[in-house]
Amino acid sequence: MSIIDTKTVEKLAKLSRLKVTEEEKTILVHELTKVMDMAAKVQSVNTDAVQPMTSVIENAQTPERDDAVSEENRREEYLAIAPKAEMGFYVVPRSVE
Amino acid sequence: MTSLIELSLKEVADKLKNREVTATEVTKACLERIKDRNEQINAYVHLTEDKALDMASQCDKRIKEGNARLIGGVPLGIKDIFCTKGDLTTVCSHILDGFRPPYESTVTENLWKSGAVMLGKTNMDEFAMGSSNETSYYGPARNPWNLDCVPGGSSGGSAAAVADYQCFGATGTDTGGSIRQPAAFNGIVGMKPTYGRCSRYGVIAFASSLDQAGPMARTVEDTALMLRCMSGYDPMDSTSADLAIEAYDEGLADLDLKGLKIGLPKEYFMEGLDPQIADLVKQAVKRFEEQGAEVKEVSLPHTDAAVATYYVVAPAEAAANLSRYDGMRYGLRVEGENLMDTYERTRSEGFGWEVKRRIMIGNYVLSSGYYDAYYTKAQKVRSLISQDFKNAFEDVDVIFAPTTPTTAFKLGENSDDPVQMYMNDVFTLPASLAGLPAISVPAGLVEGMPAGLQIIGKAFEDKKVLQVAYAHEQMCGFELKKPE
Repeated sequence: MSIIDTKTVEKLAKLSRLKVTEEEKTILVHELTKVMDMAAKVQSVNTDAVQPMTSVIENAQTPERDDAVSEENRREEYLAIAPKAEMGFYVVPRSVE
Repeated sequence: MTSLIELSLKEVADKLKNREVTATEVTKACLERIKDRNEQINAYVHLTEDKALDMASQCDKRIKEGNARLIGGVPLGIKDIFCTKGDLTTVCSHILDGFRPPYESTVTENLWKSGAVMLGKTNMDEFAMGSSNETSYYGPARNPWNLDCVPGGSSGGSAAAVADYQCFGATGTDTGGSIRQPAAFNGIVGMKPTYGRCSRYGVIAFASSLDQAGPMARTVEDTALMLRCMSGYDPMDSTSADLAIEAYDEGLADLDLKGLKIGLPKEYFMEGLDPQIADLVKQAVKRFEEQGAEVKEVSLPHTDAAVATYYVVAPAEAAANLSRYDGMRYGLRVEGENLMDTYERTRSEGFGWEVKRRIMIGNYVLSSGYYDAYYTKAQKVRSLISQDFKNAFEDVDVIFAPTTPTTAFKLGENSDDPVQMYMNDVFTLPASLAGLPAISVPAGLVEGMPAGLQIIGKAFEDKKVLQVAYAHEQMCGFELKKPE
């Protein structure tokens, strides 16, 4: 059984790119513990020699399409819905100092 | 006299074809009903009135020219998870504030090609994560049978809109029960087709290996007709099944019930199931028996691990899918001191509590040290759950089960305890994990509130599931509450 403490919550928040307040951390320790205790039920099932199922679609049933360009250039339309765009580019916060 | 809005989808489609009514009249009647009721029910979060009237007038023109389409002029509600070009599409999340997609989902595109009219976007749990509609950024929709009760979720707005005669049908999506559970709570029909029947292209992703779109309507025939219009192979979704579209609505009464083998999974009649709901399912089974169907007890031995399996697999996929919301290309951006701070502020303000919790659970089960113990393990249990169904279906044609353990609960009743809320999906999750077609059809009332019968079929036997549901509907005689 795993133990979810404040440190775990801090790590998960970081991985999830979320900010959590001190008060929220306490609640999350409690709630995540509860959910993971329930989820731990999977560990009681005998799965010897069982393959993991990643999709319900049986092997090789997924059709493939030609790797061809299907969309015309709609740069302006896509940039128009961005929070910030200038001169045909997305504007993002400085990422290299 | 029956008012226009009370007609079934099929009836209104026929009247439109025969030019007894116009699409504009029908659309206006729905819009009027919505305006009259939305303050109480909150089923719609974004109305598209101008678009609806424009689409209706185009339909009228086509019908006049003799080019009527399958459901030409029929107004529908569209769950706020389907991208419709140029219209607000927000999955009822703050993080997609103002998002108007520059493209159309295949399912809605197919519906428009069949002549349907879009009334607006319906309420839902944020990112389809919830079983009560209470996690919506726009506040919960309410159950038209009792306004103090939830409509279920995540497709709660769609179910409430259909049950309250605010449209003739609505789209839903079902990842773990999100079509069937609200259908059951509102006394309507809702179907999760076989995984792969409906394209996921343009459906905002929650858990991609489980997400499947489906129809919600007041009758089985309407549901079948809608599925015919929504489904089909789509090269834009590599998991969509390359099979011909079936006329699901034709020959619904053709199934011979004599010799039909019905399985009753013994694990589903368990503690926590309202005994009155169990009775309704047993009554339904008895009516089939009287028509010559054979009933057999079957075992789905890994049922009790389904909730745990789902709440590992779905959050893991969600954590990955929702990592795209970074505030850079669309939706909300909350500026921070640097790039990382902007990501964190955007996501913290943009996502609601349930969504944040599931992202963290997902990242937990995917993180090093826990990946094998939870994620891989859950995928193995998923194999066993799927195999359970394969074994059962060697002996039976369809499986009957309750849709939900209880009828609709009161708002706020389950919101303090996530695990208790998750237990609502105990009967719907297994078919989702196995990708099987499953429908919820009204089974009767328990203390004035509707309960659903769930019929689960073999993969791609969607038509048979609909035929069995149709037979049940004819024998059960359930009546939806008339509009006030």
